[in-house]
Amino acid sequence: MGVRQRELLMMLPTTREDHRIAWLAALAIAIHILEAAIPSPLPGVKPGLANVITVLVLMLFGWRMAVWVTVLRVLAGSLVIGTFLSPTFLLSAAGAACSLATLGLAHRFAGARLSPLGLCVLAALAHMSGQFLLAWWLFIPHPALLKLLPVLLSFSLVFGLVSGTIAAMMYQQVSRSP
Amino acid sequence: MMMTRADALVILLCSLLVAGSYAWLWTPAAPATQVRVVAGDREVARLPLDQPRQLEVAGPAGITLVEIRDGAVRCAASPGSQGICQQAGWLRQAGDMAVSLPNRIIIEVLGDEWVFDSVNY
Repeated sequence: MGVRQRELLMMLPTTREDHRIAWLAALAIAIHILEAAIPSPLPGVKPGLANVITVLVLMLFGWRMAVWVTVLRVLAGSLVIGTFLSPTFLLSAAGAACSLATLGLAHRFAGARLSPLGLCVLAALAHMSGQFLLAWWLFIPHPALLKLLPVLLSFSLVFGLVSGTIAAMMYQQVSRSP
Repeated sequence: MMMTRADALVILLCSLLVAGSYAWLWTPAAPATQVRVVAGDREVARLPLDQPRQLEVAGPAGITLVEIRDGAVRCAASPGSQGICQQAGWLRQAGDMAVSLPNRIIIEVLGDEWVFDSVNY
Protein backbone atom coordinates (compact mmCIF):
# COMPACT_ATOMS: atom_id res chain seq x y z
CA MET A 1 0.00 0.00 0.00
CA GLY A 2 1.45 3.37 -1.00
CA VAL A 3 2.15 6.16 1.46
CA ARG A 4 -0.51 8.34 -0.09
CA GLN A 5 -3.15 5.66 0.17
CA ARG A 6 -2.23 4.97 3.77
CA GLU A 7 -2.55 8.67 4.55
CA LEU A 8 -5.99 8.76 3.00
CA LEU A 9 -7.09 5.74 4.96
CA MET A 10 -5.83 7.32 8.18
CA MET A 11 -7.77 10.44 7.42
CA LEU A 12 -10.98 8.49 6.91
CA PRO A 13 -10.84 5.15 8.63
CA THR A 14 -13.62 2.79 7.59
CA THR A 15 -14.79 -0.37 9.22
CA ARG A 16 -16.18 -3.56 7.74
CA GLU A 17 -19.57 -2.37 8.86
CA ASP A 18 -19.22 0.89 6.94
CA HIS A 19 -18.53 -1.05 3.77
CA ARG A 20 -21.49 -3.30 4.38
CA ILE A 21 -23.75 -0.30 4.91
CA ALA A 22 -22.47 1.28 1.71
CA TRP A 23 -23.09 -1.87 -0.33
CA LEU A 24 -26.58 -2.41 1.02
CA ALA A 25 -27.46 1.26 0.68
CA ALA A 26 -26.27 1.17 -2.94
CA LEU A 27 -28.57 -1.79 -3.58
CA ALA A 28 -31.50 -0.02 -1.93
CA ILE A 29 -30.80 3.17 -3.90
CA ALA A 30 -30.77 1.23 -7.17
CA ILE A 31 -34.19 -0.27 -6.37
CA HIS A 32 -35.48 3.13 -5.25
CA ILE A 33 -34.47 4.73 -8.55
CA LEU A 34 -35.76 1.89 -10.72
CA GLU A 35 -39.09 2.16 -8.90
CA ALA A 36 -39.29 5.89 -9.48
CA ALA A 37 -39.51 5.09 -13.20
CA ILE A 38 -42.71 3.06 -12.73
CA PRO A 39 -45.78 5.19 -13.38
CA SER A 40 -48.20 5.33 -10.46
CA PRO A 41 -52.01 5.54 -10.55
CA LEU A 42 -52.14 7.75 -7.46
CA PRO A 43 -49.60 10.08 -5.88
CA GLY A 44 -48.01 8.31 -2.95
CA VAL A 45 -48.58 4.82 -4.31
CA LYS A 46 -45.59 2.72 -5.32
CA PRO A 47 -44.55 -0.85 -4.73
CA GLY A 48 -41.92 0.06 -2.11
CA LEU A 49 -39.56 -2.74 -3.05
CA ALA A 50 -36.62 -0.91 -1.43
CA ASN A 51 -38.42 -1.83 1.78
CA VAL A 52 -37.26 -5.40 1.19
CA ILE A 53 -33.66 -4.29 1.75
CA THR A 54 -34.53 -2.36 4.92
CA VAL A 55 -36.34 -5.34 6.42
CA LEU A 56 -33.62 -7.81 5.45
CA VAL A 57 -30.93 -5.56 6.94
CA LEU A 58 -33.01 -5.28 10.09
CA MET A 59 -33.31 -9.06 10.39
CA LEU A 60 -29.67 -9.78 9.56
CA PHE A 61 -27.75 -6.86 11.04
CA GLY A 62 -30.06 -5.04 13.43
CA TRP A 63 -32.02 -1.82 13.61
CA ARG A 64 -29.11 0.62 13.72
CA MET A 65 -27.86 -0.56 10.38
CA ALA A 66 -31.35 -0.58 8.90
CA VAL A 67 -31.60 3.10 9.85
CA TRP A 68 -28.26 3.85 8.17
CA VAL A 69 -29.19 2.08 4.97
CA THR A 70 -32.63 3.70 4.82
CA VAL A 71 -31.40 7.23 5.55
CA LEU A 72 -28.72 6.90 2.90
CA ARG A 73 -31.27 5.55 0.43
CA VAL A 74 -33.72 8.40 0.98
CA LEU A 75 -30.98 11.04 0.78
CA ALA A 76 -28.95 9.67 -2.12
CA GLY A 77 -32.01 8.36 -3.96
CA SER A 78 -33.62 11.81 -3.94
CA LEU A 79 -30.36 13.43 -5.06
CA VAL A 80 -30.16 11.11 -8.06
CA ILE A 81 -33.84 11.44 -9.01
CA GLY A 82 -33.73 15.19 -8.40
CA THR A 83 -36.38 15.46 -5.73
CA PHE A 84 -34.06 16.42 -2.86
CA LEU A 85 -35.86 18.78 -0.42
CA SER A 86 -38.97 18.75 -2.63
CA PRO A 87 -42.38 17.68 -1.27
CA THR A 88 -41.76 14.19 -2.67
CA PHE A 89 -38.57 13.98 -0.64
CA LEU A 90 -40.31 15.16 2.53
CA LEU A 91 -43.06 12.58 2.06
CA SER A 92 -40.50 9.86 1.44
CA ALA A 93 -38.51 10.89 4.52
CA ALA A 94 -41.61 11.02 6.74
CA GLY A 95 -42.69 7.60 5.51
CA ALA A 96 -39.23 6.15 6.06
CA ALA A 97 -39.00 7.60 9.57
CA CYS A 98 -42.42 6.21 10.51
CA SER A 99 -41.60 2.86 8.99
CA LEU A 100 -38.23 2.62 10.77
CA ALA A 101 -39.80 3.50 14.12
CA THR A 102 -42.48 0.83 13.65
CA LEU A 103 -39.93 -1.74 12.51
CA GLY A 104 -37.73 -0.99 15.50
CA LEU A 105 -40.60 -1.46 17.96
CA ALA A 106 -41.91 -4.58 16.24
CA HIS A 107 -38.48 -6.16 16.05
CA ARG A 108 -37.72 -5.38 19.67
CA PHE A 109 -41.00 -6.73 21.06
CA ALA A 110 -41.78 -9.59 18.68
CA GLY A 111 -38.20 -10.61 17.87
CA ALA A 112 -37.93 -13.73 15.74
CA ARG A 113 -41.65 -14.43 16.00
CA LEU A 114 -42.23 -11.95 13.18
CA SER A 115 -40.84 -13.07 9.84
CA PRO A 116 -39.90 -10.60 7.07
CA LEU A 117 -43.46 -10.96 5.76
CA GLY A 118 -45.07 -9.48 8.86
CA LEU A 119 -42.37 -6.85 9.17
CA CYS A 120 -42.82 -5.74 5.55
CA VAL A 121 -46.59 -5.41 5.97
CA LEU A 122 -46.11 -3.33 9.11
CA ALA A 123 -43.45 -1.19 7.46
CA ALA A 124 -45.60 -0.59 4.37
CA LEU A 125 -48.61 0.55 6.40
CA ALA A 126 -46.44 2.69 8.67
CA HIS A 127 -44.75 4.28 5.66
CA MET A 128 -48.10 5.13 4.08
CA SER A 129 -49.53 6.49 7.33
CA GLY A 130 -46.45 8.61 7.92
CA GLN A 131 -46.42 10.17 4.50
CA PHE A 132 -50.19 10.64 4.53
CA LEU A 133 -50.12 12.44 7.87
CA LEU A 134 -47.36 14.73 6.62
CA ALA A 135 -49.26 15.42 3.39
CA TRP A 136 -52.41 16.18 5.31
CA TRP A 137 -50.66 18.34 7.88
CA LEU A 138 -48.34 20.22 5.54
CA PHE A 139 -49.70 20.23 2.00
CA ILE A 140 -53.47 19.67 1.86
CA PRO A 141 -54.99 20.17 5.32
CA HIS A 142 -58.50 19.47 4.10
CA PRO A 143 -60.86 16.81 5.46
CA ALA A 144 -61.58 15.64 1.89
CA LEU A 145 -58.07 14.19 1.72
CA LEU A 146 -59.09 11.71 4.40
CA LYS A 147 -61.37 10.05 1.84
CA LEU A 148 -58.21 8.95 0.04
CA LEU A 149 -56.67 7.27 3.07
CA PRO A 150 -58.54 3.93 2.90
CA VAL A 151 -57.59 3.52 -0.77
CA LEU A 152 -53.95 4.34 -0.05
CA LEU A 153 -53.88 1.96 2.92
CA SER A 154 -55.33 -0.83 0.76
CA PHE A 155 -52.57 -0.33 -1.79
CA SER A 156 -49.93 -0.35 0.92
CA LEU A 157 -51.33 -3.54 2.43
CA VAL A 158 -51.20 -5.33 -0.93
CA PHE A 159 -47.72 -4.03 -1.76
CA GLY A 160 -46.57 -4.87 1.77
CA LEU A 161 -47.69 -8.47 1.25
CA VAL A 162 -45.89 -8.61 -2.11
CA SER A 163 -42.62 -7.12 -0.84
CA GLY A 164 -42.95 -9.21 2.32
CA THR A 165 -43.18 -12.40 0.30
CA ILE A 166 -40.10 -11.39 -1.68
CA ALA A 167 -38.25 -10.51 1.55
CA ALA A 168 -39.24 -13.80 3.18
CA MET A 169 -37.98 -15.78 0.19
CA MET A 170 -34.73 -13.82 0.11
CA TYR A 171 -34.28 -14.24 3.85
CA GLN A 172 -34.61 -18.01 3.53
CA GLN A 173 -31.96 -18.06 0.81
CA VAL A 174 -29.59 -15.73 2.66
CA SER A 175 -29.87 -17.41 6.04
CA ARG A 176 -29.44 -20.88 4.51
CA SER A 177 -26.13 -20.02 2.84
CA PRO A 178 -23.20 -19.79 5.31
CA MET B 1 -44.32 -22.42 5.40
CA MET B 2 -42.53 -19.12 5.96
CA MET B 3 -45.43 -17.37 7.67
CA THR B 4 -45.39 -17.41 11.44
CA ARG B 5 -48.31 -17.06 13.76
CA ALA B 6 -47.29 -13.50 14.58
CA ASP B 7 -47.25 -12.72 10.85
CA ALA B 8 -50.79 -13.99 10.49
CA LEU B 9 -51.85 -11.86 13.44
CA VAL B 10 -50.17 -8.77 11.99
CA ILE B 11 -51.75 -9.31 8.57
CA LEU B 12 -55.16 -9.87 10.16
CA LEU B 13 -54.90 -6.73 12.29
CA CYS B 14 -53.69 -4.66 9.34
CA SER B 15 -56.57 -5.91 7.19
CA LEU B 16 -58.98 -4.97 9.96
CA LEU B 17 -57.35 -1.55 10.16
CA VAL B 18 -57.80 -1.02 6.42
CA ALA B 19 -61.41 -2.23 6.53
CA GLY B 20 -61.99 -0.02 9.55
CA SER B 21 -60.60 2.99 7.73
CA TYR B 22 -63.19 2.47 4.97
CA ALA B 23 -65.98 2.20 7.52
CA TRP B 24 -64.74 5.21 9.43
CA LEU B 25 -63.82 7.58 6.62
CA TRP B 26 -66.29 6.65 3.90
CA THR B 27 -69.50 6.94 5.88
CA PRO B 28 -71.14 10.31 5.41
CA ALA B 29 -69.84 12.58 8.13
CA ALA B 30 -73.03 14.54 8.54
CA PRO B 31 -76.27 12.57 8.22
CA ALA B 32 -79.18 14.59 6.99
CA THR B 33 -81.91 15.42 9.48
CA GLN B 34 -83.93 18.33 8.09
CA VAL B 35 -84.85 20.06 4.90
CA ARG B 36 -85.12 23.78 4.51
CA VAL B 37 -87.16 25.35 1.76
CA VAL B 38 -86.40 28.92 0.86
CA ALA B 39 -88.61 30.93 -1.50
CA GLY B 40 -87.24 34.30 -2.54
CA ASP B 41 -85.53 35.71 0.53
CA ARG B 42 -87.79 33.94 3.01
CA GLU B 43 -87.54 30.51 4.64
CA VAL B 44 -90.99 29.02 4.07
CA ALA B 45 -90.51 25.62 5.66
CA ARG B 46 -88.13 23.61 7.79
CA LEU B 47 -89.26 19.99 7.96
CA PRO B 48 -87.86 16.74 9.41
CA LEU B 49 -86.81 14.19 6.78
CA ASP B 50 -88.20 11.15 8.60
CA GLN B 51 -91.85 12.04 7.99
CA PRO B 52 -93.18 11.60 4.44
CA ARG B 53 -94.93 14.64 3.19
CA GLN B 54 -95.64 16.74 0.14
CA LEU B 55 -95.41 20.47 0.10
CA GLU B 56 -96.45 22.99 -2.50
CA VAL B 57 -94.40 26.13 -2.54
CA ALA B 58 -95.54 29.12 -4.53
CA GLY B 59 -93.04 31.28 -6.37
CA PRO B 60 -93.17 33.96 -9.08
CA ALA B 61 -93.26 31.31 -11.87
CA GLY B 62 -95.80 28.95 -10.34
CA ILE B 63 -95.95 26.06 -7.89
CA THR B 64 -92.94 23.91 -6.95
CA LEU B 65 -93.81 20.52 -5.49
CA VAL B 66 -91.45 19.33 -2.74
CA GLU B 67 -91.68 15.66 -1.77
CA ILE B 68 -90.20 14.10 1.37
CA ARG B 69 -89.95 10.29 1.53
CA ASP B 70 -87.60 7.68 3.09
CA GLY B 71 -85.24 10.19 4.67
CA ALA B 72 -84.75 12.05 1.41
CA VAL B 73 -86.30 15.01 -0.30
CA ARG B 74 -86.72 15.98 -3.94
CA CYS B 75 -88.20 18.58 -6.15
CA ALA B 76 -91.02 16.56 -7.74
CA ALA B 77 -92.28 19.26 -10.06
CA SER B 78 -91.33 22.80 -10.82
CA PRO B 79 -92.30 25.31 -13.50
CA GLY B 80 -88.72 25.85 -14.72
CA SER B 81 -88.50 25.00 -18.44
CA GLN B 82 -85.23 23.03 -18.18
CA GLY B 83 -86.18 20.90 -15.17
CA ILE B 84 -82.90 21.63 -13.39
CA CYS B 85 -84.55 21.52 -9.99
CA GLN B 86 -86.00 18.05 -10.64
CA GLN B 87 -82.73 16.78 -12.08
CA ALA B 88 -80.99 17.25 -8.74
CA GLY B 89 -82.81 14.04 -7.80
CA TRP B 90 -83.28 12.73 -4.30
CA LEU B 91 -81.30 14.75 -1.78
CA ARG B 92 -80.18 12.76 1.24
CA GLN B 93 -76.85 14.08 2.50
CA ALA B 94 -76.33 17.25 4.45
CA GLY B 95 -75.35 19.97 2.01
CA ASP B 96 -77.32 18.51 -0.94
CA MET B 97 -79.39 21.12 -2.69
CA ALA B 98 -81.95 21.57 -5.46
CA VAL B 99 -82.56 25.02 -6.86
CA SER B 100 -85.25 26.44 -9.11
CA LEU B 101 -84.03 29.77 -10.39
CA PRO B 102 -87.20 30.75 -12.32
CA ASN B 103 -89.29 30.07 -9.25
CA ARG B 104 -86.64 31.42 -6.85
CA ILE B 105 -86.81 28.35 -4.63
CA ILE B 106 -84.01 26.54 -2.81
CA ILE B 107 -84.49 23.09 -1.30
CA GLU B 108 -81.56 22.39 1.01
CA VAL B 109 -80.81 19.40 3.22
CA LEU B 110 -79.40 20.27 6.62
CA GLY B 111 -77.46 18.07 9.02
CA ASP B 112 -76.35 18.43 12.60
CA GLU B 113 -73.12 19.91 11.40
CA TRP B 114 -72.50 22.18 8.49
CA VAL B 115 -70.59 20.78 5.50
CA PHE B 116 -69.42 22.03 2.12
CA ASP B 117 -71.83 21.28 -0.72
CA SER B 118 -68.90 20.77 -3.08
CA VAL B 119 -65.13 21.10 -3.08
CA ASN B 120 -62.91 21.90 -6.05
CA TYR B 121 -59.14 22.06 -6.28
